[in-house]
Amino acid sequence: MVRLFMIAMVFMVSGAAHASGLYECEEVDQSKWLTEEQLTQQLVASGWQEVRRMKPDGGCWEVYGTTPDGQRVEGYFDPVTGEQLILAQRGRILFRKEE
Amino acid sequence: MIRTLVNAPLFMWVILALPGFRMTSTLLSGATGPEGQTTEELLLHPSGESAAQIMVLAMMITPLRMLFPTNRFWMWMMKRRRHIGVAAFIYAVFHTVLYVVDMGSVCAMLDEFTALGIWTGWAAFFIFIPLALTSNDYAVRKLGASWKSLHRYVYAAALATLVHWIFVHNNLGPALARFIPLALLEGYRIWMTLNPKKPANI
Repeated sequence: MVRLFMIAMVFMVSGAAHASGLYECEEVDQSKWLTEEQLTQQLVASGWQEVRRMKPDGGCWEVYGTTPDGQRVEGYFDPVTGEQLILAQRGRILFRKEE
Repeated sequence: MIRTLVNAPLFMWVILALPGFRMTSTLLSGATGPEGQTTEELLLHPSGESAAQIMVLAMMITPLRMLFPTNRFWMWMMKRRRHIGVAAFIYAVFHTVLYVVDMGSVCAMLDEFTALGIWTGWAAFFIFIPLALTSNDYAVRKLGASWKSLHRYVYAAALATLVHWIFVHNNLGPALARFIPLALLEGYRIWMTLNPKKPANI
């Protein structure tokens, strides 16, 4: 019970008010960003079953959708190249780009 | 006249249904969220919160009655505890249905089932089902002493609900704010049960 509490404390500290904030990208001028339509097209073309919505977060595109494998995830993508940076499912990291 | 109105079962049901009226109207309006969330996704949190809060309310009644044994309000609430519990279940059903619709496929739900925040939600829900089904006079009669043993599982469901809430939101605060008062009351109740007051010797 104490351990559960401590794990939860870590979550609270790192999670802040909401579950986002998992990744940060280099600040790039908005004009260089892929548009929402462009990134959606890219993802769908690479097999994503659904792109539900996205928003800028930490200088990246934060996308909520369903991967080609049918996983409902929260993903961070490079705003200029659309490269996948991190995928998380209910707080669990499924993928993180190698540094 | 007011007393008749307030004491009517329907009055309690209307109070319990108030959050539901608002949620239903949001659902019917098809409103989307500020970040583009679907209506179902938007309603997930309020429906879950209503289910949890109302369950906690139902669970607080007995210890509060023990704390204030002559208080008429808590006696009044005790008579309606069943309605409160069933209402919590109805919100939990609503919450679960919204989740299923939002996820859209069994595959997606199964895939995230092992996440601590997700399986605990299901565990709580599956415990609630027999509790709700036995929340009637017939079941109380038929089950006799085992009714009480069965309904003690609400504590397991409450714990699962707490863990579900914390881990789905990655946030301790709101969940604890609801459950700490309950935990304190239950602690009091356990203490009272273990230390019954003896009448003073004259």
